[in-house]
Amino acid sequence: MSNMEDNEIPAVCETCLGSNTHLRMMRERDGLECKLCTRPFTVFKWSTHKNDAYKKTIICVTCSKQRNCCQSCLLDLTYGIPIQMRDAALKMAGVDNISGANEPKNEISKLYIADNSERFKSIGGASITGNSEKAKEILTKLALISQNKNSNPSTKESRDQLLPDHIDKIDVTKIISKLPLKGSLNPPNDKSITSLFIFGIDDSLPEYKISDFFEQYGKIKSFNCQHRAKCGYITFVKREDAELAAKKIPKPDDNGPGLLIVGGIPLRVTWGKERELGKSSGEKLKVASIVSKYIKKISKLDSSKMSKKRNLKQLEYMAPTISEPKKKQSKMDLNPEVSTEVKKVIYKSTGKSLEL
Amino acid sequence: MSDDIANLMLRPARQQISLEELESDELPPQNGIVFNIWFQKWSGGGGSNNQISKAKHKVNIEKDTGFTNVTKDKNNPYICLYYAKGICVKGKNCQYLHRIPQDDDFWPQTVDCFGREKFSEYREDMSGIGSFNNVNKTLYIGGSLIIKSNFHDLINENFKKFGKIDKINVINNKNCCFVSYKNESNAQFAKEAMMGQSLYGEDIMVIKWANEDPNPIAKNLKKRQLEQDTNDMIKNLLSNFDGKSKQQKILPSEIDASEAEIEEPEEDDQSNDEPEEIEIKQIEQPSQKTLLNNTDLSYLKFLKRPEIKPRRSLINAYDSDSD
Repeated sequence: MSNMEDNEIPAVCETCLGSNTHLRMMRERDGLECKLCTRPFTVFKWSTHKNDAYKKTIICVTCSKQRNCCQSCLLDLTYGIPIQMRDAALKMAGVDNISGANEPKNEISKLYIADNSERFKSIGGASITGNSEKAKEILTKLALISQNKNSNPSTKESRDQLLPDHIDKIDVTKIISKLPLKGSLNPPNDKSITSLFIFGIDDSLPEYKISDFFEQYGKIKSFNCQHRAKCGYITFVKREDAELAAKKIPKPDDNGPGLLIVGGIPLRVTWGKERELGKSSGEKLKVASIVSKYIKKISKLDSSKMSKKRNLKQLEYMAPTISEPKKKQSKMDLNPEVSTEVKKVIYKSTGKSLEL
Repeated sequence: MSDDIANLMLRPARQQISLEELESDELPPQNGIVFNIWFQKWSGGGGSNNQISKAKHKVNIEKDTGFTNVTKDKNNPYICLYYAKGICVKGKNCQYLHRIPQDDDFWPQTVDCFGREKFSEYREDMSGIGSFNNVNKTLYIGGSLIIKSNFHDLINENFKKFGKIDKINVINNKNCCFVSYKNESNAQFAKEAMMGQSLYGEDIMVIKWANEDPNPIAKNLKKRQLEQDTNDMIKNLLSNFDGKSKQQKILPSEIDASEAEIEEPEEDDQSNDEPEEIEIKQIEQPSQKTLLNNTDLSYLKFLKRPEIKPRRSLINAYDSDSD
């Protein structure tokens, strides 16, 4: 199976060998079983520094040749990157003719592929990085691709996925009615409330990023963050800390929820006593769909208000679009003060346009 | 390293339990026929002999963290496994780190943060050290859980001590829970630290690696993340190869002008490189001409055996396509 020639030199990358030019290695024939193909192989052991632990080869030469990876750290020998990432990168570069076989899944096929290394010369993108000229060529290709990506960053399309029927039917009015969606950041009279309600939490926004923001204002007692339901409650130990945090959050509307942007994702924050956010995942998904609809509405309102502050002329142009959320408002029963303000705005703008 | 941990590391690590407490380790309750002294487990006899016993000790990050007897010039020292379990008797004389994994820590892909070797596949029940073939940052929490209304808060409180939490997903009707971390090493630490612990006193948590999330949203997210990572990595690689091509310009170079032109605008990206991927930079030494020669030379350095022709055998070893 493995010929004697292979036993002389291990295929190991430079990082594993270290900076020392004089290296002493230990060799043991059939010392371990290869972690990939489970066949016995010649193990090499060495230490790069005096105090460092010994490094050793963990896969056989055949497997490392097939994947063009280091026998010790399993990184690609040419690029020094994980082989899974290398294959992903090659896919991105649009390399269609990866001649290599796919990574074997079960034990028998692993053995078979290792035994027939004549037939399966390369697995994944090994044949490309194994050839220095080809590797260079691919890299320049990748350079062009990444440049193009930088010039027009892929905008996240906000896909509104329709809920399946059985989830859409779930009645969550009880949960929704208790959520402080219409609340504001004005401190409530009930002094026992120390929690803020956050909604609009996207799946791609990690929890620690949100709690990092709030931790600068005081100690947090608990953070119930439900990505499924797109909302969560953050509870402070002290009421004063919560008030301080609430003050720091920018408010597009004095009587509406605050707007906090964390990691490029807009979050809405209000005061609110901690309530149930749905027990099953179906309930949570339904809550999420209602919450995200509501957020769209208020963001439209906010944008209209911002433009009002900035420029009246712009508002004239936007007047017809504002009337749309107004219709929906009646259904959702928004804050009455908000709706009157919007009406005023529309009146002003339309009045002006009449004059013109 | 975060400030809190850096402060804690100024004091000596305390001894978590005394030697007497450690030695009072008795046999686990008999649930098999043969006792295996290597794994401290009973086996045979049928029935369920994989009952997890409740952990007697638990790590207290605030109290137990501190400096240990790790030699300064050691590269990437590992974290003490016994510290994670709360049973390190060595205290400040320990040869391993007594702290949680940090963002700037780096360990090879083939071992976990305690220095234990990973395997190519997960075990059938997803327990154990895990696989080097994919990066898993999510833990499955099962066992005899009791899910009450404050379960989510308790999980958050207990698990955020071991690292930055990405997501917590409690599944009420399946009586289990998933916790994902920002870094894989934190998940490895939390797995060992919380194994066999309980939240309410009567329950026992069993922690395993999570399978891939079948949720289409999560899959999409993962795909995007992989693309992002690959993109970052390509940038990093390019900046390395850039340095190379500039060196080659001084030497009699074989690179045509067009390639140099393409690569030059990438200079801006060098500044954006994340420090996480330092290991890649170390590999490329810009003094040599091409990569194959680079590795060739290094072998010549340590081989010193004239009867073997290293060049010939290397071509065999690396590149079966050429010639």
